[in-house]
Amino acid sequence: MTQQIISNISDLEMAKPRFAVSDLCISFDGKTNIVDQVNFSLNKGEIFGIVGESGSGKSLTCRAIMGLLPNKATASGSLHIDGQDYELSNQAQLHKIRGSICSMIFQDPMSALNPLMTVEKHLKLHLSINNQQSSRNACIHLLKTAGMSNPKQYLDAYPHQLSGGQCQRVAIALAMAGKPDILIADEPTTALDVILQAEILDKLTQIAKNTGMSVILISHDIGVISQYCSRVAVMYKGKIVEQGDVDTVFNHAQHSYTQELIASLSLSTLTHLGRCDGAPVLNYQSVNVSYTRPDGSIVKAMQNVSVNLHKGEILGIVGESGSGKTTFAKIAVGLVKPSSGGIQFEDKPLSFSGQRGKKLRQRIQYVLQDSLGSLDPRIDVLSQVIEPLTIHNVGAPNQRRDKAIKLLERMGITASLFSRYPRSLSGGQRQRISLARSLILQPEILICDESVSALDVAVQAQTLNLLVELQRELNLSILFISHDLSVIRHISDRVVVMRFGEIVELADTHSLFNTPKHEYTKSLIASLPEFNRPTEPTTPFDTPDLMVGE
Amino acid sequence: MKLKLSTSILALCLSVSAAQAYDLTIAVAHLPNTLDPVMENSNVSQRIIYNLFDTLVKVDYRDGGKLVSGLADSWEIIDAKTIEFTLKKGVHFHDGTEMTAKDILFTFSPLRLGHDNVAIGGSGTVVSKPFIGGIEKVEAIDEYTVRISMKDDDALIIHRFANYPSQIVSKSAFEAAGSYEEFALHIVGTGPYKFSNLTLDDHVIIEKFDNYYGDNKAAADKVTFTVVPEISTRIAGLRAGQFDMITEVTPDHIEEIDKAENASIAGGPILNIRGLVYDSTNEIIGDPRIREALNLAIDRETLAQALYQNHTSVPHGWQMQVFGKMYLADRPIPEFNIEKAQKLLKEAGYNGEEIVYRTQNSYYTSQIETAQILVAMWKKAGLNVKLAVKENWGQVTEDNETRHIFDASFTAYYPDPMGQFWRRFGPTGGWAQNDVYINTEEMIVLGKTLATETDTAIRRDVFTTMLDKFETNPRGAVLHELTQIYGVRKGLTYSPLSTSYMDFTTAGVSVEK
Amino acid sequence: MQWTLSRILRSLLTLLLLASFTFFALSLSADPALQILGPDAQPEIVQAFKERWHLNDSLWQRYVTYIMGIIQLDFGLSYRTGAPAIDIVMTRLPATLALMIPTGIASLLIGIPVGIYAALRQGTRTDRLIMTASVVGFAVPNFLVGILLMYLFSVWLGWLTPSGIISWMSWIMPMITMVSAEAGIFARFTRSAMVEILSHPMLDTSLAGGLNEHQGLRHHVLPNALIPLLTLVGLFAGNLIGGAVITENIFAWPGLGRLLVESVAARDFAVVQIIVLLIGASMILINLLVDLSYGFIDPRIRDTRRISIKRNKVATA
Repeated sequence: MTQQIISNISDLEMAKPRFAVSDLCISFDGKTNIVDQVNFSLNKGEIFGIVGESGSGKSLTCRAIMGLLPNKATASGSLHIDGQDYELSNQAQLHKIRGSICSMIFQDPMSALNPLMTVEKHLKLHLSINNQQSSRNACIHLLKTAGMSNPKQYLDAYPHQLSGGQCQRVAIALAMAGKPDILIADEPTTALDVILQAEILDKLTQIAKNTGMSVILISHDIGVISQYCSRVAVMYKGKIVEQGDVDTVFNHAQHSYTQELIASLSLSTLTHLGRCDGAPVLNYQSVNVSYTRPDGSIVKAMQNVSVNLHKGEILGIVGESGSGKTTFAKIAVGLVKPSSGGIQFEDKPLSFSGQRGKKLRQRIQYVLQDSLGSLDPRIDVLSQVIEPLTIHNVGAPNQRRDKAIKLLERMGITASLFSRYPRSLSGGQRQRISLARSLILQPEILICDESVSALDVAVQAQTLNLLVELQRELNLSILFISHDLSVIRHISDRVVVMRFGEIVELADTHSLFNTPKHEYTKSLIASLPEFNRPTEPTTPFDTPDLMVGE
Repeated sequence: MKLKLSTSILALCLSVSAAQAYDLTIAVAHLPNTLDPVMENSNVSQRIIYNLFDTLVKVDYRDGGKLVSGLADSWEIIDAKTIEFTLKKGVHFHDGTEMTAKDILFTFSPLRLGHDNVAIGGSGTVVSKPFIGGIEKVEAIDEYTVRISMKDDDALIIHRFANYPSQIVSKSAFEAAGSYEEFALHIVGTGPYKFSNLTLDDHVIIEKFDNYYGDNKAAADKVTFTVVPEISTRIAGLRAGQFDMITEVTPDHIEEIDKAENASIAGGPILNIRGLVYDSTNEIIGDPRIREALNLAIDRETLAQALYQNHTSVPHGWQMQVFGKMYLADRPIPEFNIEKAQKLLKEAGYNGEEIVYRTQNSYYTSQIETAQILVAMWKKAGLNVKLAVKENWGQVTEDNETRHIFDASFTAYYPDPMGQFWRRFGPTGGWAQNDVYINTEEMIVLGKTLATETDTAIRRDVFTTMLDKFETNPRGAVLHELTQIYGVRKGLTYSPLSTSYMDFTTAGVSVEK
Repeated sequence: MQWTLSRILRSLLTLLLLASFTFFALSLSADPALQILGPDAQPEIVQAFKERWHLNDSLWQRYVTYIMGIIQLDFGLSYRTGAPAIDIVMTRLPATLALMIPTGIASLLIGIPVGIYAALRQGTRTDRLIMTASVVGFAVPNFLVGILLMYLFSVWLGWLTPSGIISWMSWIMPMITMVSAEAGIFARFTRSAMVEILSHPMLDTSLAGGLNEHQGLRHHVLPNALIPLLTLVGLFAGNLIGGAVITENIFAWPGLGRLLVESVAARDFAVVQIIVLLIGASMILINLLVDLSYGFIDPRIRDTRRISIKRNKVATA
């Protein structure tokens, strides 16, 4: 029935745009435009993608459409929705379209909700604001529409009792409460694992199809865009540099930025050496880690894990959050002690106590995800890199400086940056400095825990390539932890797939990605959005419901 | 409980409000804890109890300290140990009973004084001991005649019954109160004012006693002493008309009050010498020549002028004019002579050894300023004195190798050297007993004569000898007379007494109508 | 329930520690005999005083006697008057409460709305003006504010009496003095709590979903800003007591603050102890209420409490 009506409407109206943005400019100082002359349009039921690196102005564009620009920003241009015109310069006027005509979901689902309100209260508030019937049943219905299984069970839950995916579903339900014609999704799945990402995006696609709602999907991930969108706009430095249907834009990229973006995607072309023939340096022997959760239940963070890291090998560890991959790293640096089993470093039990332990801290280095948080904000770049030498008292004091400069230059940090402070550097530069801080000590083992996850794809690729080069030069052994399959695939010699603290599969990279054995691995690889992959609904993998209440 | 709280708020409001024509409000810095004379010995207590009680004999401070008839019409010193009083008839206590010999007997009874039983009462059950602890026996000859005998010959026998703490209280009131503490809260005397209310650290109210026997009646219907700790607030209240008088005006505020349109300054010296005490048991100033040099190096007139402008003066040694016949008028003020001081120091072989002067921040008026000026004066004479500011008396008097010089004041409780100089420096004084110094045998003998001899001429000679000897072997130093400065609102005239007593009778206060 | 019980036990322990600390601090810092009898007292008088109040007993003995007394709610007699110390304190409590309760309420009623107003106009001249005023409010010492007010209203204008409680007008200056400081702190704190919540993504979600700014403020910002404010209310109680000591002294307010100053100076142990315990107990009580209301407002805290009790149970089982 509904299906029929929609198809009728689409026949009539799909042809002309129902929604158009013309000449959108945004400025913070009234002089320079941060977003400059943006024009695009979309049709009913269409999913339109905007792709670009962070800072390219894609989020600001959407906020301007919603009338949610920061106070200091001014916008110009106009918005056309179903025959109505709105001035984008009048941000206050745009509140009329929020909720009922145009709605939006955001990147971080965990903080999208009010921590003091139950799911039901959220839904009822949004339903009543949009003059909808706000009964409990209406709430349940809304949650169902947003793809929440067992919605009734979550009505009385508070946001902190939900998982990230569940929160994002509630956020979608809230955005849907006013039955909007257009939904803007700003990096809706960036903070989620691949499987959840696939589920949520599939759900959005389904809603768009069923209700005729148009979706603007913003992402930095070309894979996501190419899989889910029909048309795409590429934003770079505040401008749309390229726009058109996905196939044309990505297969026949005109603009150099688009080309670079696509080139960085072809990570998997790196040749793997499969270097697992070195002597084992780090040896996990039936390691079990369990701890008691605050509610008294026992969590098995690692179960019977046995694996070797060989000399000169990059061992990738992949899994969802909570799969135990970080525990892997923490054991190796002594932050977590195994409940049973053991870990050996060069055939001796790993121990960080005593004089030998101190030496060990120098030989095993740890690089974290948050480069800003792991650098001292008050000292300059060069001193950051000299500092570890001083701490560990390595080399003659007067040679430390030269050593640091040499390494930084090797890593592409030019001398002009030496006197800068971390905050004034880009994410990629900071992460290279973090890396330099670790490498200056000439470690034997490097542990990278989501070390490139916060970087944009292009920078990510550069950083990874640098890492691989250095690894080969120095014959490093690397434990590389990531949730991102494509990164793992790009860099690893062998891959460990973790789930619920257990090793699901361990194989060399090539065989793992081409002939996955385990069902879970298969579904992980299947939900990986792939460039130019035809859209087909993935089978949602049975993800366990995370804690709800008690 | 709730009810009790709210009613007491109400009571608070009522008790301070309702300013009537003849009510006086006096803003003071501190109040006594209790008003029973034998319970507390303090300036703040004395200024109030003067209006509540009378003594058998009175000191007329407005007439050079002359002894005049008080509750006794006449008296006779029978011998150096015995005195007999003939009481006035028709004198009534505030509770309406007539004062007779029984009340005198009671006032000086062990039960009331608590000398033999320290377990009763609050802090001060023993404060009267140094003053009237020497009473052996009090007998009633008849209803209006009382004979008092002392344990030893006593040159001060008449003064003991003319001054603190010999104020006469009502026996029947004490018995009615039932306990010592209760009596202290419902004190009954014969003074021009009767006690009305005391709230600790907050206010004391006294009211006019209509049946007062004396000539100078109460000048106001009610006098309220209210605690206002900050001098700035006291002055603001005076200038705003909230207070009729304020006390404890510090020297740096005198000018402000003088200049204000609706207020003026009153007051002056109060029979109290501000001075220093030297610890001569300590090696560093053990040599009397060093102590003499310390005294010679002080320019007292400059000090008094710097601190008090013309509101105080330098006494002529350890004496005051109220001593009357015992006052050695020819004696000069203590000598200021740096050369002599330097010479003495040289003789004593003083070589710049550090002398510690312990002082406090503000126990006395301008205490720290005084100390700083002194240190500077001593430095000029070559004395190396280091100031050590302490928090309390326990720390000041702590007996160790750094106790050299510390501050003191010397109240003339009796208009006699025995009530001031030898009361403090003598062998029964606190310092001798706390090993601050050891009096020479010679001085002790002289002191004994001063205490027991009744012939004034002999006593004058003895006092002169003692002061001479003290000058060359000093246990302390005279600085200046202590003052009490009052601020008085316009339209009110207050003529202060030369003591810490405050006089709210018609002799002390007159109101412009 | 179990959480509440453990909180109460901990509170009692805190009070006991507080009493002990005060006892030793007072006992070791000065000799009450010298403080009360004055420096002129003769040794025998000091001795008699010490016997009267058992000050010659060992510190340990006195401590035990004192703590046993407290446990039996016997707080002892005042050294200064010999009267039960509790009576002295109770006569002064009403005046302090009568000043502190309205001051507390006024500080909240002024500080919070002003802070909200400033946060909503963040970065504007109004905001800067309010924030400057509030910094001045709490940075200028109460003492100075009090004296300035007194010279303005009492000496110069002659409108108000500067000291004591005479009429309702007596509340004006002490309250301005204290409220200017406390409301300033509240305004600043409210503003920063608000500013933080105002940039929280949940606000975007709700605005994007159709709520207007007023609704967002009421449903999301204010309830969330309340949580850090509650913490401040707990600290505020202590601030208020500190402020009361100074304010009562300036305006000769017949309250506990002034009694405390005099009693500490005189080392009137029993009185000081009761006041300190009273202050301690009220701080503990206020913070207990604050903690309880956290749980009432914030489901996250409710959950952790429930969980920690469960854990205790697991641990004991």
